[in-house]
Amino acid sequence: MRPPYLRDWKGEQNTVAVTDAATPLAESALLISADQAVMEVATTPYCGCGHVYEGGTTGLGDRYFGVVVAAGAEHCRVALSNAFGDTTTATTANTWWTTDGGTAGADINTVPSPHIRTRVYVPTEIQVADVTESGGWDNDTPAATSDRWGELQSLLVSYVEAMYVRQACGVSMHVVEQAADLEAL
Amino acid sequence: MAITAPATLQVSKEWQLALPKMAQQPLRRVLEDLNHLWKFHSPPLASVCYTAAPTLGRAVRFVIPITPSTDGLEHTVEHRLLPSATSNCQIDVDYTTSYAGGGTVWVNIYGVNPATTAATLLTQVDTGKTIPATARALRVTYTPAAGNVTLHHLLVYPRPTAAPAVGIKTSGFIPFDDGLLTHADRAPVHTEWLNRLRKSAVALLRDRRQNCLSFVQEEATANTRVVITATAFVAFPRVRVYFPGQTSKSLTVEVKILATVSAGATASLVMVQQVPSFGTPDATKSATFAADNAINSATLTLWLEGDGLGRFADLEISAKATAGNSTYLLAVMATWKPGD
Repeated sequence: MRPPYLRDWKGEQNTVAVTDAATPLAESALLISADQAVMEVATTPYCGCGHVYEGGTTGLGDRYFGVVVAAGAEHCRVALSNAFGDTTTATTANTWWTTDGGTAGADINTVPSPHIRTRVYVPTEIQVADVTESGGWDNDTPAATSDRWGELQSLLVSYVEAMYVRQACGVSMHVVEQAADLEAL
Repeated sequence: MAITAPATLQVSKEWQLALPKMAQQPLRRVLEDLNHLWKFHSPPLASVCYTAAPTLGRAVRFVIPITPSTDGLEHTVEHRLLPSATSNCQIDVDYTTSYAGGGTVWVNIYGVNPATTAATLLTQVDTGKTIPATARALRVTYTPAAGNVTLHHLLVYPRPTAAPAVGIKTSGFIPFDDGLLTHADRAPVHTEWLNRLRKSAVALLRDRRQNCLSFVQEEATANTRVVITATAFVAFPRVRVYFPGQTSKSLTVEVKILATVSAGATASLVMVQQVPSFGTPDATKSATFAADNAINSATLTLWLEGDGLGRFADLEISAKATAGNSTYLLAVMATWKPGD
């Protein structure tokens, strides 16, 4: 079994050689260390890019985008930026999906809004601006739209996941679960 | 003798690494995975949700500051737009090595004229587009032939179409040629190969910067969607940026911005700062920029929150104008190099 290992890349270990001996002993630890470096680079999720844009205003409710996903990822969450003015009105929830998780009906993820205000954008004065993370539970077969993890393809290669979000003015996606065993992919 | 790049990672089993035989494998498998990384280590060079008016029936042009790989790689470019008409939309992508406003010398990377279907998302994927190491900005132009377009997203990421050529790359990456490992019993000592695995993998990681913050709107100030006239900083809604697994308390990103003014002074009109989820922003965790119609850059140290895969920092972009004038924030692009 080989789970992915999450490495903090800040530090001297990046420049240290696996071995500095000209003729080292044929130890499996050296091979494991060298192999691990390649696997860590391949499976460390890329940073979750924060996209800032006008969204949620007239004609700009929908946003389609793509995210490059590193190997070994299984599920994701999104952080949604929302901006509101001072006019009181019923606020629609954010919705979002990943292609792999399904794009219609019960597969759509819904993130409720705690505000009862009109969505606005700069330079209109913003009264409330917040970041809301989508839900933290795992359900790949929802019976109805819910606030759940997003599904990703669990591959041994990086790929682009096509995604959609509604009514937000900022979005970032991050991997929340990786494959438990890379050998099984 | 061949340099092969497998289409997927080849995962050696635990026992194959712990109890290796005196044979080609699993070392050869791991070395081939290095070549796989050359093709498929693809953090986004640019990931931009455009800010522009919806349903535009004219040419729409954006300028996006970038910091590409030193290896001059081929990239895949993905455009997402929603057209109103069943027609075509011309898409042109250029680069420049030095942005100078209207005097910029642009070099065309490619142009394409895909067919569009009314009210149907167009995802245009173009592969094998070389972006030289000297490129400092991309210019992307969308021109619908009929009707209008609403522009959604641009994604650019390194994706060489072939296995790496022989030779040490500028980034420090060294590809693996299997010639010396194919002989039955006369393979050389493996020391350099073991070190090459870590050195080359980390070289790729450090060479291919990852876009971690983006905001882009139309270059032509007559068309710029969001125009700032307030003389105090106006904040754009903050956004959350994730750095999975980076357990160090801080890391450093590079921020590049492009902004201009209608008239007047240009100094310190744009700010990018970290906004903690608790407490108030700290002036030491901010960078200010001039809006002088040039690409300006600065580094920003972020103090991370959260843990594990959810390690993050919230960032906020702000802009202001001088009295009686306007500031046009055309682009904000931040990138991260793992290890910084």
